[in-house]
Amino acid sequence: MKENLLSFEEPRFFKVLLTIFVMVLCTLCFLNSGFAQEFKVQGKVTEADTDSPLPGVNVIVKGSNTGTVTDVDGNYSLSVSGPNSVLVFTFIGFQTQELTAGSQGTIDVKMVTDVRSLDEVVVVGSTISSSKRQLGTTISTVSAKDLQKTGTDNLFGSLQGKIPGAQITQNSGDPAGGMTIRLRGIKSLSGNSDPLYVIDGVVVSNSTTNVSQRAVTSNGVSLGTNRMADINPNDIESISILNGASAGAIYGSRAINGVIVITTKKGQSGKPKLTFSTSYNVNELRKKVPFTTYGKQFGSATLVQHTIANVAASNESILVEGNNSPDRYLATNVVDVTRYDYQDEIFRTAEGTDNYLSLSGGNDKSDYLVSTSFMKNEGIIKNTDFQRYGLKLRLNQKITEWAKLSVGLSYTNSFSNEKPNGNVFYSPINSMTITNNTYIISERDVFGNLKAVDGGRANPLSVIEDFDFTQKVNRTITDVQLKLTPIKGLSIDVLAGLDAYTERGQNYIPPYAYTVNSNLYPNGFAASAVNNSFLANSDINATYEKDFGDFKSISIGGFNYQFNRNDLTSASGEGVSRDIKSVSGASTNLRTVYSLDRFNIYGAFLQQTIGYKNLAFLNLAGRVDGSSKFDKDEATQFYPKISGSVIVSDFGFWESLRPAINTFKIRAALGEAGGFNAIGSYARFNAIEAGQLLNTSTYIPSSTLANRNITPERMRELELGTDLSFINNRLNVGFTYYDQKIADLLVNYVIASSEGGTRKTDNVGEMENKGIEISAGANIISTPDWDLNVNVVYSRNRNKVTELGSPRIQISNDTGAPVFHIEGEAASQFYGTYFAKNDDGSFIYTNGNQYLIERGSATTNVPARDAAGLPVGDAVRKVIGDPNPDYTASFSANLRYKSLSFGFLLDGVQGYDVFNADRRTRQGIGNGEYAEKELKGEIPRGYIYNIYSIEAWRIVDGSFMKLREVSLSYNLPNFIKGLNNFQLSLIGRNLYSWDSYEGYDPETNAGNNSDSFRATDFGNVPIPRTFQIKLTGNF
Amino acid sequence: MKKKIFISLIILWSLTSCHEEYLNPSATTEVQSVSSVEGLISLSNGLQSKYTIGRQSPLYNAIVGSSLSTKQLRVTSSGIGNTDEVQIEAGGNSISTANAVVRNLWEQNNLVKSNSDLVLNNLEVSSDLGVRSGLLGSATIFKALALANLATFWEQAPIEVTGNASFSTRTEVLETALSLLESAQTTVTATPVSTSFYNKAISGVSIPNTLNALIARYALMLGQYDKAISAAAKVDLTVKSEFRFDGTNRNPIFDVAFSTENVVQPRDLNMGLPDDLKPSTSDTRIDFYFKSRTPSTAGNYLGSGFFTANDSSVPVYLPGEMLLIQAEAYARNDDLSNALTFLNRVVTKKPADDVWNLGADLPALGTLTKENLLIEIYRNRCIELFMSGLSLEDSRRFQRTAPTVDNPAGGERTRNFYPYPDNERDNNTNTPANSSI
Repeated sequence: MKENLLSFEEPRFFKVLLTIFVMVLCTLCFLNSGFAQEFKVQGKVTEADTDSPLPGVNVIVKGSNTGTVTDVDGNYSLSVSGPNSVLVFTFIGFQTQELTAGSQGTIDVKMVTDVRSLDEVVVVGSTISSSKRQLGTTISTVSAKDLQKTGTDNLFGSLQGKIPGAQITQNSGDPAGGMTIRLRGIKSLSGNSDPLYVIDGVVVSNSTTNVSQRAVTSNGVSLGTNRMADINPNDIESISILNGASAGAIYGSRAINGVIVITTKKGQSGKPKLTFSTSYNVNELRKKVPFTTYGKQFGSATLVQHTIANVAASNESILVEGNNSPDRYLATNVVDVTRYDYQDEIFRTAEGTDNYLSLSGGNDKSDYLVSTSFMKNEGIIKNTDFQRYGLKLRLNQKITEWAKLSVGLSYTNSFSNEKPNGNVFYSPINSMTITNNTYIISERDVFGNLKAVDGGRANPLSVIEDFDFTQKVNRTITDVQLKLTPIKGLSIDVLAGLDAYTERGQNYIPPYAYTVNSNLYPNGFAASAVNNSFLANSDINATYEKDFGDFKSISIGGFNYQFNRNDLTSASGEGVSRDIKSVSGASTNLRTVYSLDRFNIYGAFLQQTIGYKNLAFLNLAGRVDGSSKFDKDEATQFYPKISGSVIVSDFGFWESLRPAINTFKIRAALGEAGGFNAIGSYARFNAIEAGQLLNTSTYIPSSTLANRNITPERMRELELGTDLSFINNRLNVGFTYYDQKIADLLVNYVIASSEGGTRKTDNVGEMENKGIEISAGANIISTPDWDLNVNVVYSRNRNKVTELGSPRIQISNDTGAPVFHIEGEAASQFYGTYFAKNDDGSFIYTNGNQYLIERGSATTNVPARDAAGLPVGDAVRKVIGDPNPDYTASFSANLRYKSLSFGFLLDGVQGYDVFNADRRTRQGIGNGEYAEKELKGEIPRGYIYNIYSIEAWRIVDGSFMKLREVSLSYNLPNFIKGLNNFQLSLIGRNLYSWDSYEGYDPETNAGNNSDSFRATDFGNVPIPRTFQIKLTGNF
Repeated sequence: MKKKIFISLIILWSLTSCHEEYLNPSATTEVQSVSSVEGLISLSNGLQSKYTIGRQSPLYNAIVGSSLSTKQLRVTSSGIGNTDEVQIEAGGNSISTANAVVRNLWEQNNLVKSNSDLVLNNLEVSSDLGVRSGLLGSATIFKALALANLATFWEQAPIEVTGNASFSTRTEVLETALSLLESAQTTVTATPVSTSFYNKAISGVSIPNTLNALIARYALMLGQYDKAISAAAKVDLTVKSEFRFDGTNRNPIFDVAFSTENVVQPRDLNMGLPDDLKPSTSDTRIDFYFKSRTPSTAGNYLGSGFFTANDSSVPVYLPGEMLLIQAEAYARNDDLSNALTFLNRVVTKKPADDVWNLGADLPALGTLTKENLLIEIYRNRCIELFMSGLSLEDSRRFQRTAPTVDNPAGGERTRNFYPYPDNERDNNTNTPANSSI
């Protein structure tokens, strides 16, 4: 038991570090033992299609640590033990080649592009690689060049539309806004469904901690920047995405949500090389929302919510059916007003720049890469921005022929100026939506203060000018790795990784110069919050490879240990002064919060692969995992997996078919993974929360009851797939089917409060995800002058909560969205009231043209009709919308003519529903498009009020297809000697969206990074359209 | 050498076991909290916090629910938001089973009830009998308030805290509250609450007086008039018993509604009474409960009373209630002369003579028939006890015009009892049918 908060909790990290140094010392003793007879091999590596030199190709002597990387001209040279040594040439995106050194001493190699070649080597774990041929599961890869012309500085943004099985959503258009990646749907209803992120072996945090929006209650939402925003895409060499549980034996209990393994750039042997990239971009609002400027209003010029306000019965009013609200008399007389479009005053055309500089070099014993970067991007909401400074170092040093040390250091400093992002009525967009647009919001009183707008709302310009929210992050990610190849076929990797960061948030809402509602902090608000995050992991993996005739055996075993610590301290208060802009000036409602979260996860695994003639492979693996999150009896879990692959096309009988179908691989995998992250570190205890009232201490039992003996969630996944290639490998198709069942699902389910709580957390649920992933790539033209490639990615996932513990669980939130998990449905359904219709589907009207809400039994939700055939009883509910898409799809094409290339990416999400709270609010306030129609008489008077309380009216189809990326690049001629690969690009991002959405953008989430509360539009910042000009090159 | 390295590596790794138990320094556990006197006093303080703080609190919802259902309050902001309060105001079938006022009333009172058991079941932890009296008195008060709220707004409610709890009639629920109060009152009288309890407990609620006041209130509701009279007589009317607030833990009605003239405000100067019973214009209690008799915007009456600042105290009971309980109990016992005497003590009370400065300052009433006496008592309860959360019970007990399913607005109240919230019905098979109105 660790009671002392100050004691150092992570001895293992330093133990491993110490181990590495001891081992390095020992190996140094061998330095003088002399190398075997030296034999030099050199040559040039070129791209087969274009004959242009390929820099950065890995050249390794098979079965050893000896290796080098080609220089900018594609040249390499290295020492081998003799002419029988086999050289292995690998480069992401190209087929791996193995060639015997021979006696001439010169080997020139032409590398063949082949995106989905079976011999492509992919990274499957922190220190483990494998050829695709051997894998029984699908692993998709993204290489550096896919991340270059995306028009975004955000890694997740640059991955949108490129990964089968992934739904990548930009939740907010704020430059520091959240993005989420979901691989094969959500996996947990209690914890997050965020994949595990591993950078160069370091388990890194993608947590979202609210330090800069402390005035917002975190009701159902996860506000703030997800911390992968600190990662610079420019630093990345390649990314492997492990979608399924069975792929992640190396990560075991952490792999339930999939794993994203990132490898950063490293140095190349040869002269020092300077690489730079610089860009300038412009961001703008892609689409305005129709605020009416029609100069009319119902009732009177000062009538708040003129379209729906209750007035006295008179000959200038009509009675309107209120459905779930009381019937009302609404004014029918119209008066003149002047209306303004406030969008012009809160949005701007913003600018940004992204600069990257790296220096790399090395020889056959050591190499280095050091990079620095600066990025600043302004938001389209005035006074918002995000900037990031980075410094990175990678050093590789060969200590002996059989020992190699690698050290990585990175430092990031991120800073953002923010505004409230949705969810509150004082966000820039909500304050605009919820105010009648008949005020000149820039008008000031004699003291220079902005003036009040209607109904106690915040003047949108107060938010823009006076609110001050900032967030600053200092982060270091460090790794030390030792790779040993002591005997032939055996390699041992020892790794220690650290990710430590501090997030500091400052929050300031000055007191308003006018009266506002109490939930807008009339007397101002200030807060200061600090979150310290510390993640340490240590891994030891050993691989032993041996051939037995036609059979090949690869055995891998390892231990992993991971420790996480997060502590958050926050102070907030109200009643602040205009002079003191921190929480020190707060006079009332002072609150301090300290929370500490600590947990560890540890495990060991063994994996055995048996290959037959490089045609068929069988993998068996087992893993034992434990975590401090569970009681000792439940903590240790065993996860088995089995997978296999057969390359049918390499068998002799395929000979005749091979011209038509070049490769045909079948793969299958069945495996289990655990969900240790599904639950808070202390969720198994019945908690009593401490507080204070009138200077006395209070203990309040949590309304969520706990079960001490909960067990980790467990996912069993079956995955079947095939990889095919046709037409001389120029058309590649991959197909995967998966079926995931998550048992012992931890659900924070609703209980009758007469049981002594309102919720209980227990293993009462079960969920499934079934889906298919298809990816296809074709190299349609390939000549020295012309090149055309197209790619299609299609994914569909069907999520279903099969058991829930209670029939429905509401996900409470502040947007009015009726979000429920419902047994038998996909997660996070919109379940609410709807329009009454006849059996033939036609609407039932009252008073001639007014809609009726469906009514019946509130208990069974079965509709009922009275004698006149009208709905009778309580308003009833049903599933009115589903935020889970039917499918996601993308299409990309890249055309090159000589030095000029053009590419685009279409990325779409189809068949999903959005809860559009803002469209309705605009009509109720009377500044929206339907209000205008009602004023003009194009729809009946009372239309808005009549449908206002029918929740189904807020559900809209959010399907979209976006022109995500467009790029036009020109490779400049080498006009100065020594200057290479100068490329000038014009890039566009999110230029156009094909959708029918009555709002800014259907790609939005008021819940931000929340997993359960999705697809709700409530004052969210729209995703900007970006134009970028970029210059890259190297010396 | 290589072997040595490999072996040392394995040894270094297997030195320690990995399973740790990390505990949360920012929260305690149930087992720990009930094992010390300090923990029990903090739990007892937590009951008041749970009962009085926030928009979900029983205090807010009992006042808003009861006063909206009896037309004492109206919902202000004309359209967006406050849907739950709007439904309560409309009454009848407009109140959905997902209504937040209804749900909070049900859930939070059930939680106060179960949380108070944590204190009541562990009293023996305190060896100091005076502290034990304090814990017993305080926890009993909140348990009784919670049970009585359930019995006020619903026809049936569970008494025991358990899974799939069975329901008891509201009479049985009130009887349980009453017997808990009587037993606590006996103990507290025999062993007075000690200063070591008061030193750590929230001040404001006078335990002995409140026990008697609540005995009087619930005995009256149950028709046990002699018990009501004797208990009410024991209450020291010169002592305030109040829920206190400050800038952090705010008076919920002021914070949510009155501070910004939002959500709910008094409907009109009638204070929930029909026109023929509306307060006399000379009644100074109007000036206590309203900001102004003549609002700047016609019809936009603004409330005052016990909800004028973040730190305004809310009385647990009013001295006037004790007098009116005695008046009503005597009247129902057909002792009209005593009834009139107690009624007139309220009618003629000058603000300066009331510990809360609340007084009608009207001339004394002459002899009345029993029926008219009860009407006057009802009228004075509505005025004197405006926004106290008792009006729905009063409206039913005095048999004021009831609403009908077809015309909920037609009665003096818009609903007799609330429907059971979805969360209870969905997870407790014993949930009875909803009251039709």
